[in-house]
Amino acid sequence: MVSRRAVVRGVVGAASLGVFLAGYWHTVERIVKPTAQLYKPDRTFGTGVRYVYTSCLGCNVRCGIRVRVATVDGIEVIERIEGNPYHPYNRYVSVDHQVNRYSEIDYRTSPSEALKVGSTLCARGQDGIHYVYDPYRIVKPLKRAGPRGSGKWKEISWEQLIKEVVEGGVIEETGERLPGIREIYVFGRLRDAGFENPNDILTAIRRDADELVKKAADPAVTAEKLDELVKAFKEKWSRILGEKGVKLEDVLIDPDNPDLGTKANMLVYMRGRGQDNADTFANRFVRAVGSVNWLRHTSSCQLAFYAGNYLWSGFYDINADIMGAEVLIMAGGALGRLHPGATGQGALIERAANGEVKVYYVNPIGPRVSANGNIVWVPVKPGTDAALALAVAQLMIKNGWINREFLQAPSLKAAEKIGYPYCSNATWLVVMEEKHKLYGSFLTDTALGIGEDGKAVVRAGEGFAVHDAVDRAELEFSGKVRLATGEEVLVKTAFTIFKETAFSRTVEEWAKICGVDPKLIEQMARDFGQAAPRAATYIHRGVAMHPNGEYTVWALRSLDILIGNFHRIGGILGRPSLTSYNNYLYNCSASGYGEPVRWGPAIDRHYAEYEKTLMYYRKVKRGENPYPAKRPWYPLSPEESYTELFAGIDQGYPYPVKVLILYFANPVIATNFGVKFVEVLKDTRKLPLFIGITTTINETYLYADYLVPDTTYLETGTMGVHFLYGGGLGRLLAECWRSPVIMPLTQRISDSPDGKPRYASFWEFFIDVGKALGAAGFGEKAIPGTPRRKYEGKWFPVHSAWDYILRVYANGAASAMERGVVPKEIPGEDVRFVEQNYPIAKFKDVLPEDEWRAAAYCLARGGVFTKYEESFTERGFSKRSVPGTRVLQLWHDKLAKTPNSVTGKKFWGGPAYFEPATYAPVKAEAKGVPFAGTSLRALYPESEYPFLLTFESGPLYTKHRSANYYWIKTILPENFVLINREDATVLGIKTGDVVLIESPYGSIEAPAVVTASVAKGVVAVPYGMGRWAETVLVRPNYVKMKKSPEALRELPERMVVPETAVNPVKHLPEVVKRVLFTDRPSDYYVKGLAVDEWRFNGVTPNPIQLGDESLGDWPMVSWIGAGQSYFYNPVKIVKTGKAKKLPAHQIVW
Amino acid sequence: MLDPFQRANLYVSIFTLLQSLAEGSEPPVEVREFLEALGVEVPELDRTVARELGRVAARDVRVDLPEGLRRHLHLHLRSFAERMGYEVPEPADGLINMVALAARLAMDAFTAGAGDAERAEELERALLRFLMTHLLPVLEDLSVPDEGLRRLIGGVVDLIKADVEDLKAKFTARS
Repeated sequence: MVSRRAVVRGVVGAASLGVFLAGYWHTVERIVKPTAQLYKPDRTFGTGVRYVYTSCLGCNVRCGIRVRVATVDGIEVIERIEGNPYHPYNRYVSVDHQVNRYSEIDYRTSPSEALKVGSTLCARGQDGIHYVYDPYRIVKPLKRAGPRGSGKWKEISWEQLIKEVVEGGVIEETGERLPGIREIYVFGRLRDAGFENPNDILTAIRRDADELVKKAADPAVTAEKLDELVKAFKEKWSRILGEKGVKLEDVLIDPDNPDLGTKANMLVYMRGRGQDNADTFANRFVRAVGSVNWLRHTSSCQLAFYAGNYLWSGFYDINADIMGAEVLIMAGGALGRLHPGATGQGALIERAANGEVKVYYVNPIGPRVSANGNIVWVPVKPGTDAALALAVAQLMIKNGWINREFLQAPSLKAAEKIGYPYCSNATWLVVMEEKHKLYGSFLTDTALGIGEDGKAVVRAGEGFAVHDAVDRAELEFSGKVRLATGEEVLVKTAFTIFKETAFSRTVEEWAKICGVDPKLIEQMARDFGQAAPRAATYIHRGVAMHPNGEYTVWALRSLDILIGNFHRIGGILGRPSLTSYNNYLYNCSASGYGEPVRWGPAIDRHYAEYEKTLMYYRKVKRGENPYPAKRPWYPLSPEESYTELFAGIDQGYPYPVKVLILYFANPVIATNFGVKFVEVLKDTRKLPLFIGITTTINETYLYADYLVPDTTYLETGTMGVHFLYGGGLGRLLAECWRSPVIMPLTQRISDSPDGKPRYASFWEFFIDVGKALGAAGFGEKAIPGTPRRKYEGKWFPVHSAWDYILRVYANGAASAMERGVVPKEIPGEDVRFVEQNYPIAKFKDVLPEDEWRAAAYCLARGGVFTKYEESFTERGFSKRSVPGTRVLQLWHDKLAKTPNSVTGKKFWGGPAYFEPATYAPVKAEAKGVPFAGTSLRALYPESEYPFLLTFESGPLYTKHRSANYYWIKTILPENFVLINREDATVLGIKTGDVVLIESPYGSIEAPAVVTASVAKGVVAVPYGMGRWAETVLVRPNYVKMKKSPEALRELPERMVVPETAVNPVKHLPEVVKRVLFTDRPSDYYVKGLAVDEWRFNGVTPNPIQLGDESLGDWPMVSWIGAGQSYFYNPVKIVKTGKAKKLPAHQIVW
Repeated sequence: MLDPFQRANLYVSIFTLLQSLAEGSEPPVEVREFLEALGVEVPELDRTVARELGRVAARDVRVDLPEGLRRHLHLHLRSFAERMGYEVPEPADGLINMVALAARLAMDAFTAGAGDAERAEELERALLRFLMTHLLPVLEDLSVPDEGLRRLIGGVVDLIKADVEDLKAKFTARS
C-alpha cells in the first residue's frame, strides 16, 4: 500500500525525473487523438510575426541564427531561434535536403525563399531566449551602497552615473571618495590648460622618451650618464608644461620612467566575451582617453594557442579545413564545441560517418560519437600532447612521410617556384654552440663573413649560401663553421634540431609519457603522413592551456609543417577574409579620428620587452642583476592575460592603475584559481575605481563601484560584424552580422539630439562619457570620412549607438559590393524584408538610400558569405591572403634569445616536450625545466595527488553563463565528476557516490559518475555550473579553499538590490513566463530577486585549480603567452560516504 | 498534491509501463525510476502473464455492472472521449487505451493551463470523473494471478486513488 505521505514525498523526489518523461508524451498522442484541432499551431507568418537574421552568442563560434518574434498580448516576444540557412556553419535543412547536410543555401537566395527552409543549430543557440529573458538582469544603473563586496546596491540615474564616473563620486554610506576618469585624461588636461594641440606636446614627449631608451640601450652610456639624461628630460618638460601650470606628474605616470607612458594608461579596459563591433568601439574609447590598456580575456580563451601559432607562423589563429581534410589529428578540442562549433561540426561528423575523413580524437575525455569507427579516441594524459606529437613526427620522418620538396625550399622565392606561397625555415642554420653569445640565433651572412645583409644562411651543395640565393638547400646538417671573427661554432639546420628533439626518445618512451599505445601512434602517423597534404591538426585550448602550452601547440603544428599543408584545401587555414566594415566609407575604426598619442607597455606586459625598458637598463648599468623582474613580461604574447592584469594591479607593476572598466566578464569564477583576484578587486587603494558593464551582478561584479546595465546579443549587445575563427570552413570571405532582434529591455535614457531613442547599455555609456570628457571620436565630430573615398574631409556625429553601427553596416556592404559578393542592383524585396522585420530599420535615415539598400541586403542574410568551392585555386591553395610571415618556423631565433624575465634563462627556440612546471623554481633541488621552474609533479607528486583534474565543455554547456539555459537544464540540471571505470573500481567508487576532489588549492564535493569515456588517471567536470552570484547570492557549499579562503568566507550573506532595478521578464505576458520557466518557482520570475536553485547548483572546478607558487600563487599561466593554465591540476579523490541518486537519463555531458 | 505537469507524467508513466508490459518489452528505465520514486516497485514479471494486460477490457472486468451495460461499455467510453474532443482506438474499453485517455486528459490539462485556465479545469474535472467512474474500478477489480503483477497494479491503484482524493479536494474547496 502506498501511503499518501509516500506519494507526496515521492512526488517531490520525482519532480525532476518527471521532466524527462515528457519525452514519452508523443506515444500517448499517437493513441488518443483530438477530433478537432485543440490548439492553434505556432504562427509562422502574418501579422505580429517577424524574423531577423543575426549572429548567435550561445558560445563564441558565431553561427548564424534566424529569430522569430511574435506579438503576444500586445508585447513583442522572442519566440523561437533556429539556424541561418545562409551561414556556412548552419547548413540548410528542407524536406529534400536532410541527409549529408554539408551546404548552406546560395547567398543570393531571396529572403522569402530562405524562410521556407530550416537550418541546423545547437541546443545552446536555440536556448538563447533565456539569456534575454533572465529575471536576474539589471536594467538600471547601480552604485554600491556599502563597502566593496558588501553586496549592497542602490539605483542611481543615468546622469548621475556618467557625472560621477567622469568627475568622481562619493560612496555616501562609507564616505569613500572615488576618482573620476577626468583625473587621468591627460589630453584633456593639456587642452584645458591652453595647449592648442595637445598631441604636439605628447608626440614630443614621446619622442624624447624614445630617445632616452635608445641612449640607455647604448652600452657606452653609464648609469650616471643615464641619470643625467633622465634629469635633463624632467627639467625640460617640467619647464614647458609649467608655463601653462601643468606638472610633469600630471602627464606622466612615472617621470623617472617616461617610457611607461602617460597617466592615461592608468585607465584599463578589460573585456570578457567580446565581439566586434563592441571591441572596436571600446578600443575607440580607450584610445580616445589616451590609454594603451584595451585588454581582452584571451588568456582564459585561446591565448596560449595563439602564442603557440604565432611562433611558427607569425599569425595566431589557424586551424584545420575540416571539409577538405581526409585525416585530422583533433587534439585538445571538444566535439560539440571547437570551431565551427556544435552546429558546424555536424558536417565533420557526417563526413566521418560516411568514411570521408578519419579523426584521431586526442583528448583525455572520449568523443561522443565514433562515426562508424572513423572517430578514434586517443586518450592522452593531460599536458603531454607534445610527447605524442614528437612520436608521430619521429615515425613520419623515419618513414619518409614528409614533404621534402617543400621543406628544402629555403626562401619564399624558391617556394613560389614550386607552387607554394610560403616557405619554411627548416634548412636555415642555427648556431648551437653552448655558451656562445650567438647560441640560438640563425647563422647570418654577416656572422659568416659572406655578406652584409644579416640574412639567414643555409647549406647548399658543399658550401654555404644566403637562403634566398638558392632554390634548394640541405635539410639535414650538423657541423662546425668558422665565423668572420675566427671562432668555430656548431651549427645545425632547424630541421636537424627538430629531428633530434623528436628522436631524443624512442616511440615507446614517448608513448609512456603521453599514455597512448605505440601501435595507435603508428597508425596515426601513417594515416596522417599518407593522406598529406589533405591531413591537418585540428587543435585548441585543451593542448594549449598548460604551462607548456605554446610548445605543445608548436609540436603539433610541426606535423603540418612537415607535410606542407599550410593555407591549402584539406590542410590548415587562417581566418576567412572580411569586408572593410570598419573603414570603407566611414572611419569607424579605433584610430584616425584625432585620438591622443599614447605609448608604454600594457599593464599585463604582453607584447612588451622588459629588456628594452629604462628600469632594466638602469639595473644593468648599476651592476645589479635585472632578474627577477617583479612580474614576468611576455614579448611574444599577442594578446592579454587575466592573471597578469590583476597581478599587475596588485603590485602596481609596471605602474599603478586607477580605473578598471570590466565588460561582459567574470574572471573570479571563469579563471583557474580566479578567487585569488578577489583580494585586489576588494582593495580600493590598489583599484580606486571599478566600473562594471554587465547584464547581471556576477561573482566579479559583486566588487564593483558602479554597474552599467547592458543589453544582450538579441538586443543591441555586441552589434556589428564578426569574423569567423581559424579554418572558417574554408571560406574565402565570411563574416556574420549582428543587429538587434528586439529593442533593448534596459532603461530608456535621454534621446539623442536628433530624437533617436537610447537605452542604458555599453554603447551609450561610452558615448556619454566620451562626450562629457570632450574626447575625440564621440559627439558631433566623431567619425571622419575614409580618405580617398567619397566622404573624405567630412565628419559625422556619434550621439547614439545607431549613429555608429549603421555606418559599420554601410562600410561592410559597400566593400562587399566592390568585391562582387553583393549585387550592384539590390532587389527591392530584400530591402522590404528588412524594413518590415528588423528594428534597426527604424534608423535607416542615418544613411543615404543607396547605402541603406546595400546594408539591408547583407542584414537580410545575417552576414556576408562565399562558397567553399570558390575559395581555393586550381592548385588547392586558399585564395585568401597568406596569414603571418610566410616563413613557417621550425626554429624561432627571437624566442631562443628571449629570457624568462624571472630566471633570466633563455627559452628553448623550437618545438619540444617539457613537463608542466612553474614559471620559476620553487624548490631549487627539485626536477624542473631548464628555462622555467619546478615540475608540477615534483611539487605535487603522484603519490599524494594521483589524478589530474580537467573539465570539458560541449554542445550543452560551455561557460558559466550557461546556467541561464533552462531548456538545456531539463536535460542536465546538475553536473558531477567523471571518473574512469578502472580507477573507480580500485577506489571502490560507484556512480552516485559523493566524492571530494582535493587539489593543493582546495576541494570540491560532487557526485561521481563512473565511465569508460575518461582516461585513466583523469577526473573531469562538465563545465558551466557552480555559480554563487548572479544578482542574488547563494554561498557555494561545495567548495572549500586552502588558499585564499577569505575570498569565499567573506562573501556577504546576500545581495541587496532594489527590485525596481532588475527583471525585464516581469512585463512579459503570463503565458510566456510560464512557458519559459515551466516548473520553476514563480517567485523567481515575478520578483527577479528570488533564488532559483537551477542557477546555483552543480560545481565548477575552477576555484581549486592551480596558482603558481613561484609567482605569489597568482593563477598559473603558460610560460610564453601568459595563457591561463586550466587543464593540469593534480588532485586526489576522497570518498565522503554520502550518496546522491543520479537518474540515468540525466547523465549526459 | 501533484501539480499538473507531475500529474501528466504520472499517467504517462503508468500508460508507458502497462503498454511495455503488454508488448512484452522492458519498461523504460526512467519510467521505472519515476514510479519507484513514488513508492511503486516494478518487479521482474513473467512476460506471458504481463502480455495479458493487453487483452484486458473493462467489459470483462466490471462484473459489478449489469450485463447490458457491460456489453456496451466500449460505446460509453468512446462517447465520453468524443465529448471531450478525442477519438480513441477500439476497443475503447481496453485497459491500455483507457490509461492512454487518462494520460491524454492530464497532458492537455497541463498544456491548457499555460493560457486557458477554463479549459484546463474542464479537462481535470473530466479526468476525475473518468478515474472514478471507469479506470479505478477496472484496476481495482482486475484479477491477476501473478503476485508481482498484483502488487504492481495495487501500487498503481494507490497512486491513482491518492490523486483522485487530491482532485476531489481541489474542486470541493473551490465550490
